[in-house]
Amino acid sequence: MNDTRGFWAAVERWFHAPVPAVRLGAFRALVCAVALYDVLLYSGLVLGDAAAVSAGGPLRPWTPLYAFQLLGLGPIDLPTAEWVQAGTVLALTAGALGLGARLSCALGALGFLYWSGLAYSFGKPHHDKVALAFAVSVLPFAPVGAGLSLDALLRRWRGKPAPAEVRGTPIRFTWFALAVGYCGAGSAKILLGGPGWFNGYTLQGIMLGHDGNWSRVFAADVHLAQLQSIGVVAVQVLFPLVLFWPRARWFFLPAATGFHLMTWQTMDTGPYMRLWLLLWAFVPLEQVPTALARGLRRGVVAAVAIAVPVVLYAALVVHVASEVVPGWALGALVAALLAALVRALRRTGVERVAGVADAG
Amino acid sequence: MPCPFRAALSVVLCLAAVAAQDFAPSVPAPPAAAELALGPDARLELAGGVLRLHAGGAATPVPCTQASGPGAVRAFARAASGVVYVAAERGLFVLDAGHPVLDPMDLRDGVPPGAPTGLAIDAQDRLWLATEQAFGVVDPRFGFGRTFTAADGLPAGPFGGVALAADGSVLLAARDGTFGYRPDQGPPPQRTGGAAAPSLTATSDGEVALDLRASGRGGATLRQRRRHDHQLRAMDGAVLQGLKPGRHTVEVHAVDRDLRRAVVAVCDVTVPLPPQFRTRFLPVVAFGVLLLLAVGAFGRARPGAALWRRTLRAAGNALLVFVCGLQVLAACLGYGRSWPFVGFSMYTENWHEGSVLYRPELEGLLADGTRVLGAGEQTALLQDGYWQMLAEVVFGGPAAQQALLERWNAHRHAGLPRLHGFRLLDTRIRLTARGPVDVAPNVVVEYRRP
Repeated sequence: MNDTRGFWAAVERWFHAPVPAVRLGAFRALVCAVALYDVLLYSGLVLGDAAAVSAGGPLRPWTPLYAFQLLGLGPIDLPTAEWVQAGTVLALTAGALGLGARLSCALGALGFLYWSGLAYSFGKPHHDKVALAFAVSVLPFAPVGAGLSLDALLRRWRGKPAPAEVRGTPIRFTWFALAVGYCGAGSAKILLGGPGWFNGYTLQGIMLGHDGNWSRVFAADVHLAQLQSIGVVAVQVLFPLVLFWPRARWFFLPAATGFHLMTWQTMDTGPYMRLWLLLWAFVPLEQVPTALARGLRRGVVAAVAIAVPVVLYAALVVHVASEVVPGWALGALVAALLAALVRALRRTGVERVAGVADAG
Repeated sequence: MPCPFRAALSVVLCLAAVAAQDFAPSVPAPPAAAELALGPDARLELAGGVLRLHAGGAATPVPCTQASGPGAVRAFARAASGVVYVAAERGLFVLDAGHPVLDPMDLRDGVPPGAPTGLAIDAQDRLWLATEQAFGVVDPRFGFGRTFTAADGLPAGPFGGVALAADGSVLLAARDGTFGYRPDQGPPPQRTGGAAAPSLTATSDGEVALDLRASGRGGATLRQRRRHDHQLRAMDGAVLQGLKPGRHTVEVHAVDRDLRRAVVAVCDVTVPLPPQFRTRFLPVVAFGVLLLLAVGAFGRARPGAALWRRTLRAAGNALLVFVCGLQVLAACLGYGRSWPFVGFSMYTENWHEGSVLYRPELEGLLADGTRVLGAGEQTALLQDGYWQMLAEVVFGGPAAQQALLERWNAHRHAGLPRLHGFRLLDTRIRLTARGPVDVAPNVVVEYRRP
């Protein structure tokens, strides 16, 4: 008889809770795509440093990450960097498509961590892709190719049965990483900054010190800045509520996304897209097309209310990604998502007709 | 047998005689101008202790970022960079044409104490400054200074105005009349002894003593600069301080009484991590913890399952818990180099009313003197930490500055004429109760192609 109490039983229950294979597959595709975007985004920096190494300097200061110190890794030259980049892009692309999913995700994770480590060892580490690093690293530890993958297609083609549910460890682990990140950031402001952090001047200092497009507007008044300080820390510290209270996600996921978009404009942090796209980990991804389709069929007002933010969100993602991702790849991604939506629209249409017939 | 007292007295008298030559009686300086041009259409006027701005046909008192105001203004002077330095009852203030608002100057160590009574700016942009009881010189770029003492031959105070003579002498109005001081006499600061030790290991607190002696006019003081840092930090004797764990290249600058600087040592310093973070130590502890977790997880794994499956499951769960624990630990410690296990101590520094926000900015100079705002991507220098690369432009001398100009010209936007120079500014915003105020930047470098 299994022991269902105690610490390790709780670990089993919480981290390995089963999820639909399609949800895990969609999550795998999302994480690999975001990691791919990140690798491309950092390519200019890493290849620039590598070119400087090949040219004999001058270099940015090399202050290796702790892991690089442990492993004795140093700067690399341009040809090596180009090989690493090609290998990582290939692995992550295969991971996103679900081809040899676990192996390609493992190789992609290694490449992603190494690529980021090179950039951070030449500069300073940032926290915007901490959750992404954990998310991509944990993918190989679960059957991420069981659904929504080329692996699954091949398996079906060979007549092998596909599991409906699989261990959702990567999703739960990413939840944990995101919750620690937000709560840690908020708690640090309270514990290290103390009450003085909420005096308004501090947030003014943060915003103006980075000089974003909207910094001057949002930092103009110290009382407004005080209110914003309280709101920001409240969202961060209370974010772990999403782990235990699913309804809280309706507030915290848009709030966290809005927070990142605001920091982009007021602190020049960049879009932080790697982080807010990962917030989709909290959403049952396989249900999204159907939920959207149902919403769009609820009448004009509901359709507009749903379509406008969705289109704006999608446009924002495409706009940000287009900085480094080729247009054809973005086009293919949008086409795939639209196809899923159209398919869901057709299915909900059939369900509706069937529902009317049943009622009659 | 010679009398020791007499010998000591003769040495003191001799030194005093030598020092006294540094400050020679002089004719009084002509009265300071009560006006100076601030820009093509604006000028400043000092009358009755009040500084007024004449612009657009109107004259208004120059506002101040301090709620208490500057107090009575006693003197002002404009540097070649365009920054105006103002000596007032409540301290030293700065303003410029783009920021006509009085704001307290950034000052560090060595600045003459007390309320300033007079000031003058020389051709090297040094600020000669008198207060009622002290006289000295300040480098406005770095904020540090040197206060003269009786050993420097300083005449007795109280002191009044400071002016520059045509021959470069600094004229100081003292109790017994006006005295002229000739700066930059004799050789610049230099190393005079000590063993060369280019590679050093500091304590884990970031301290290491150097075997180094340097001389300079009036005695040399030492300052340290970590490469890629733009600050020249005061040293306690010949001890490097405040270095963080890692490897650093540190320059030691000797500074004489007139703030002439020379690099007298360059050392590679290794600062070890605190014992608990040593690379040999930490992985062993981590492995031990992981092993313990795995044993605990194995004991609780499903008894009926195959041994290899139980082992694998236990190892997986132990690793999961271990990584989660590390994340929480890192979040508490706030250390970034262990990425992706990082803390979140960024943005936890507090600002207050009166705090200043700094941000470096590059400004291009066209042939006709027109200024154009610089863009980070054009120079590829405004990266993480901003000063990482710019600091080398500050301390690299004309060669590094010329290199930056060429780099900028090579990558300038289409339509931008060729640049003939640039200014590297440390822009400043003062936080006040009435809102943030842009104030005069610190001009760190102004370079023009020869």
